[in-house]
Amino acid sequence: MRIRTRLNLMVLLPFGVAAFTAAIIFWESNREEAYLQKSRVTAEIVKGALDLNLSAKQYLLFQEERPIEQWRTSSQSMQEDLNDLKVGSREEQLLIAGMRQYHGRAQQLFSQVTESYKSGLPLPDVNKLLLERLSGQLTICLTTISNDAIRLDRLSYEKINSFRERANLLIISFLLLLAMVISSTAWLLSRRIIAGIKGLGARMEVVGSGDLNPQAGTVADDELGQLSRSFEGMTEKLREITVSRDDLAREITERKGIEAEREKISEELRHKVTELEASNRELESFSYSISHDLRTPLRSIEGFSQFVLKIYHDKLDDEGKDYLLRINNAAQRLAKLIEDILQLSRMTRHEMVRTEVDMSAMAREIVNDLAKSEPDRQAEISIQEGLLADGDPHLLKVMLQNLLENAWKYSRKQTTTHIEFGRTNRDGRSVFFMRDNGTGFNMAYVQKLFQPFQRLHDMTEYPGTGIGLATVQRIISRHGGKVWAEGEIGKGATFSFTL
Amino acid sequence: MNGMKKKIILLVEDNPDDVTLTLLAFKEKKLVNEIVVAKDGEEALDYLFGTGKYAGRDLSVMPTLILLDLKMPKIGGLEVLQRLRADERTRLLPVVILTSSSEDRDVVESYKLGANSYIQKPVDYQAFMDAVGQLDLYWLVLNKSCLDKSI
Repeated sequence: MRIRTRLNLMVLLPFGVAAFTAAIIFWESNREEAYLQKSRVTAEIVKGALDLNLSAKQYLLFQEERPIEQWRTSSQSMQEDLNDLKVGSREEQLLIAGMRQYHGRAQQLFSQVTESYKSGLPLPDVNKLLLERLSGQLTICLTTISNDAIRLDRLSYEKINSFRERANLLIISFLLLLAMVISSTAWLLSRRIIAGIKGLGARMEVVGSGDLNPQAGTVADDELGQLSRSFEGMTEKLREITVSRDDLAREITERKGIEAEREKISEELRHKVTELEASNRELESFSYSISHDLRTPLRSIEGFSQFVLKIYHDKLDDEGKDYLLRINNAAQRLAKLIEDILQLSRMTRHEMVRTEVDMSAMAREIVNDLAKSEPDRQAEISIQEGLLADGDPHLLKVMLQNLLENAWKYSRKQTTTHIEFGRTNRDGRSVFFMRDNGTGFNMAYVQKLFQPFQRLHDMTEYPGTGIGLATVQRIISRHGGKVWAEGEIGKGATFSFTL
Repeated sequence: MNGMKKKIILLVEDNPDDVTLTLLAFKEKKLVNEIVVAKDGEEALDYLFGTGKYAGRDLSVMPTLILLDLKMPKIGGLEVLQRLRADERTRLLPVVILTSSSEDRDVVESYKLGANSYIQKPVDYQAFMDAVGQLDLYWLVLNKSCLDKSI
């Protein structure tokens, strides 16, 4: 049972009992009131009987009119009183019936007496005896009525008494019952509450000390039970929160671990970068010494061989001249090779800047220089206007130089050199192209085209070191673009690139 | 014109082959200047300031042109340049750097230190001879140096 219900009970029960008691008392007093009323009537009847007796005696003595009147009045009253009596038990009814009967008899007797007197003045003696007997009977009658009335009253009194005793007993037992119920309810209630609180308190201590293992709350139906279940629910939630907090903590530790890893990797990267920068610098000084140190003896070879050719010209036979010439040529080739290697390494080392570059203007410049170097060449060069690109001007110049020099070189044998430099749109991207009508190349060897020192043509026909296109590719890849070539033997070549 | 003083060219070069080739080039081009050869930086400075090997030289006679190589033992070309630009007596002399290096670094440094010109020695000998001819034409004939005082 819920605590509130019990409390309600403890509050309502006394009220109920009080109401009940009040009802009983009220009823009892009603009954007493009725009894008192009845008692008054019986008293009246007794008094009436006495009055009647007195009136009868008076008449018998004085034979006046007045007692007859009095008798009538009293008799009338008695009649009324007898009617007023409320009948209860069978005994009472019998009594009242008896009284009525006797009243009737008394009435009869009195009438007989008055009649007797009214009929004749002097009364015979025999009649006197009769009258006395009559009067005696009248007295007995009236006395009986009186006694009956008294007995009636007594009966009522006893009845009311026992009723009152019963009512009092009822009240007392109810009160006792109430006391018992209330005290037992209170005691049980307090026990329940204390037990509940203690239990909850114990659980709180356990949970408060850190043990979040939930238990099922008590199954009790009442408020404390609910409290206990709510508490266990809260404990469960706490446990979940703790678990998720632990998970979170673990995740944070993991993340920290990952961060540390990342830091370490970054650190390693930084080291690598520093190392790379150092080795780049080494490379730079290396290329520098190469360029100087290789060239110097080369110059001697070249110079002296030329000089011998010149000065001892007539002292040499054709073969001697030929060999010296070869020495000379070889030296020059070596020089070009060194230059190209240097350039290639410079392209990689060069720190790129990105700006807008006018490739058309650059190409025109280069072509002008080429034309000037060979004024006899017939050439038709078409350069598209407004070819702008985003890249490093120095690198792009070298690249264009290489491409244009190639185009110029390989179309040497044509009557008219046609070189075209422009831009098209392919798959939404703008692609630059360099086309020439030179000797072209075999597409089967297109892979080798961009590799350093790989040549697809005869050295004597088309001299070169094979570095040019490798340089071009390196520059373009540094710009994040792609370069490719299409060619056909005898028809020329087209080099396309994106930036 | 009074007896044209022979113009002196100071050639500072450590490589004997290069020296020979240069002298040959001058000869081929029929150039008549007197050429003083210093085989390293130390000798060059000795000549210019009249010390060491050239102690007691008449320092009023200065070269009209100095052809200076960069990579030399003992004292390098750039240091020679620095020193001769620091001294009042030699500060204004024309110096042409004649070297096989074409590195930007060297070019910039040379000009920074006060070189008048920078020429990369071509490997091709013909080209070298042409360059020598042009050098002579420009610096000794066309160019008015601080030494060309009409006395």
